[in-house]
Amino acid sequence: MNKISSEARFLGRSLERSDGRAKAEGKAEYLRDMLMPEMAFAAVIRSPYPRAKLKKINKHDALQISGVIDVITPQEVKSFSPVSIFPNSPKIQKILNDTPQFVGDAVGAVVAETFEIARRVADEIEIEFEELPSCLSIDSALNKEVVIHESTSDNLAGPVISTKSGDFESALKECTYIFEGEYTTQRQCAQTIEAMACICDWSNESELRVWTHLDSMFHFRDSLAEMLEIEPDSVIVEPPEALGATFGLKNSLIASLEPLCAILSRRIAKPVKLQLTPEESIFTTVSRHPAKIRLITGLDENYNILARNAEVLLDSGAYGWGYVVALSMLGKWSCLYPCANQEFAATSVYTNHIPGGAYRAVGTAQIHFAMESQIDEICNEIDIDPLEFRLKNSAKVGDELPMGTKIRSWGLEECLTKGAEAFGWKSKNSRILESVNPPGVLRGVGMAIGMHHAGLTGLIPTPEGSKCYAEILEDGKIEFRVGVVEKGQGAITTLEIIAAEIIDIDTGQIKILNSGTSSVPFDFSGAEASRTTYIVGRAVADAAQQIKKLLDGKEGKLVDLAGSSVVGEFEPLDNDPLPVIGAHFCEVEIDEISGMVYVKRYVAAQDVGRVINLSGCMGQIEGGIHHGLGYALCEELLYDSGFPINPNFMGYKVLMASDMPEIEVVLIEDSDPDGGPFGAKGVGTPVMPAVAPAVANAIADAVGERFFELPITPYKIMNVLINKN
Amino acid sequence: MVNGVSHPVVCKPFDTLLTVLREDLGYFGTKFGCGIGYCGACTVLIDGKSAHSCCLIATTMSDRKISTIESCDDDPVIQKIQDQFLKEGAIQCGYCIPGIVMTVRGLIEESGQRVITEEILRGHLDGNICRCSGYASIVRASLKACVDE
Ligand code: FES
Ligand code: FES
Repeated sequence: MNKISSEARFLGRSLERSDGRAKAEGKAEYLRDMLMPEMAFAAVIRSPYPRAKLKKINKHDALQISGVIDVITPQEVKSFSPVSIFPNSPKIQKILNDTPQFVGDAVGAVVAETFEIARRVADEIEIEFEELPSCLSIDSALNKEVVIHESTSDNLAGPVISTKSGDFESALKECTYIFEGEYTTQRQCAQTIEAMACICDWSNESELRVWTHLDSMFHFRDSLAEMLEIEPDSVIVEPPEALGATFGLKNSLIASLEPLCAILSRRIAKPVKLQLTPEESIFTTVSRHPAKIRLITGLDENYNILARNAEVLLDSGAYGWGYVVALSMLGKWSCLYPCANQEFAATSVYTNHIPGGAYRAVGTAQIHFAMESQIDEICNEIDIDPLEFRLKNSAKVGDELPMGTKIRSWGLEECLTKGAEAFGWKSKNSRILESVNPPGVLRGVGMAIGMHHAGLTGLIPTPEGSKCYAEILEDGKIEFRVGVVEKGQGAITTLEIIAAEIIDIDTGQIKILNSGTSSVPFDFSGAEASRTTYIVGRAVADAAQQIKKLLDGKEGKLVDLAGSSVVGEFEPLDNDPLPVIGAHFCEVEIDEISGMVYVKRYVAAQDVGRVINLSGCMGQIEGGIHHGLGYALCEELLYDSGFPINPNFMGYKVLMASDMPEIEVVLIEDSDPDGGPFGAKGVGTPVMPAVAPAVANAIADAVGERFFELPITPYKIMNVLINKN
Repeated sequence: MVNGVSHPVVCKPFDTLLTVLREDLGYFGTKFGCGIGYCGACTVLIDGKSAHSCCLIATTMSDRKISTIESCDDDPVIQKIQDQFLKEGAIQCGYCIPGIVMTVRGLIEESGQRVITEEILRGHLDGNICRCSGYASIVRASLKACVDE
């Protein structure tokens, strides 16, 4: 499996995480558990309509109810101008909306002495709406049947992307084989077990303190300051002791959460906690952008890819930012199967649904389902082993990424060969002949490759670099201060190992501090986009190297050097984010009577560059597969005429322990000398993209028909099976 | 009786055990996840058996023995489970973990001398959602803890 270089002291081994015991014993404090003296509780008044005009809120009567402290409506926040919630997206985000744009959109809030009172009054307040015509599909948004936001009359969520290289049209005429398909992906939710919440304390006018679920403290601080029209320095964002995960869901703030809570706190000059219910946490936050993807691929008689075309339509919901999602798609689509003649066009529109947002593998999850399904279809039609085809046709070291960076390190071949070996993938056909189907069961195998990025270079216009302040403390421990968030992924442990390995000192001597924007160096993107190991890790590594120099080989000198400090820095020089690749293989069994899919075996070969913390790395990969299998098989936030129909844990199915297959992880270490510390790459998100297509390809193999729409539910499978017979 | 101590509590007729544990008695180790019996974050032991405390009415619990994750200080079996979870790296965000540890504790209690297979364990864990780990490390750690018992 993974090679651990003999001289490494910690790298590639499993280190127990320092926050683990408190969590296991139930002693770690999560946002849900946090209470403060004098704290008041807020609940949001929400629109029950996909699109409406708020006519009246009976604020007066609500304020008479015992326990109610304050009620706020759009009227009170109308002086704030709308902002753009994510770089490059239109300025449409308001704190409260008198024209709510999706079921659950915030139109007001109640502050009360207890959460129960606030929630009840918010639900029961006398309120009048005039329902407005809504726009519930990409097509009707494109036809401008309804203009959702006044400022964007064409319903476009950001610029249309249209790029081309070579001449697709003429190249297609030369092709012997042409494949065309349209693929649809759904709204998937991060569905964290801890519901989203935040606490704001703005009792002192000159300082706003915020505790919230987040992926990056500084991105949050700056967006919040912009929205509230105050100086960033007057906002202090602090991560709670423990966070019940985000999976990217909180890459950007949610206007009806942090900004609203802050204003409420200012109005009553007390700390306010805004706790979402588990249901609100699903249908009023953000979801993965649903996509319609049309792909054309043309090959010559020797099966070389001559021409490629992708047309993407994205549903950004009420306030999403499909433009960045499409950029992320383009980055993978355009280079995974290099071809001289290709065209990519993406349009992202607003609709009256939950806003699209960030979630594990933004854009790449959608485009890979389409791209890797089509490659599988091609291989079936021309009767080539999908493994061989990918070995021959996919990107290699030296190929160019979309913004011109050359791929330096690319363990794809190793992922494919080692993964295939672990799975027992000889050639696809021979494997199938070997296995005898039990009666009533259809079996199939499938594979896919998946590329994602670490870091956000080129995707957003903000600085991507990171800094680290390191100081030797009185007791000889070394403290590293970084602007990263520990949301469960294991950032702190990874950074501890990097520093300890470089200085060659016990990990217990290293303290990683990420206590809040007032005490750590600026780092805009924090723990977004699997950039911690790569970018923050490099800043820590730089600081650690400087400390090592100070020590000059004498660990005993630490106490003497107390008070010495250094600044570590890293700024990526590439134009593109760091590419990360994996190859996944899976075997499914389908019950012919019920259409149920049982994933029996799963092999994921991921090129992580270099394993830093073995158990952390495995945990990220196994967890990523869980999200990917859910995407493939069952997870979907469903809407009927604009109304969410399954926004709770009962209706929104995620996989349970018995639903999960046996997983084998093959760690490939194709280290990138200019990547993260010791050549490491990223691991959390890059696992996601290959999963759904690997499963879809196995299902197609079992059923003998391809599914073009996610999730592939028993209902869809039964429809095909019934029609076949 | 919670963790061996009896607590007189005045609560509303339909308050759940979870609400009383967290809000009246301050046992914050028991987590609120979905509130409707699907995620298992609120799992406690009632007379040794694991149960979702968000689905139990507190007033029906007056003569039952309730154990929460906070009982780990006096329960070497819970400690063994926690140790294995730590070793295996099964704890990520950790929000599901107290509930899962209690579920495994309940399974060990219920199984007595019977061998706990992976299939039995996974079946038993089906009342607990972990969104971080894909369950793999949780299953590995729990099996080790069960074997040790
Ligand atoms: S909170 Fe009780 S099962 Fe989810
Ligand atoms: S560790 Fe995060 S939900 Fe289980």
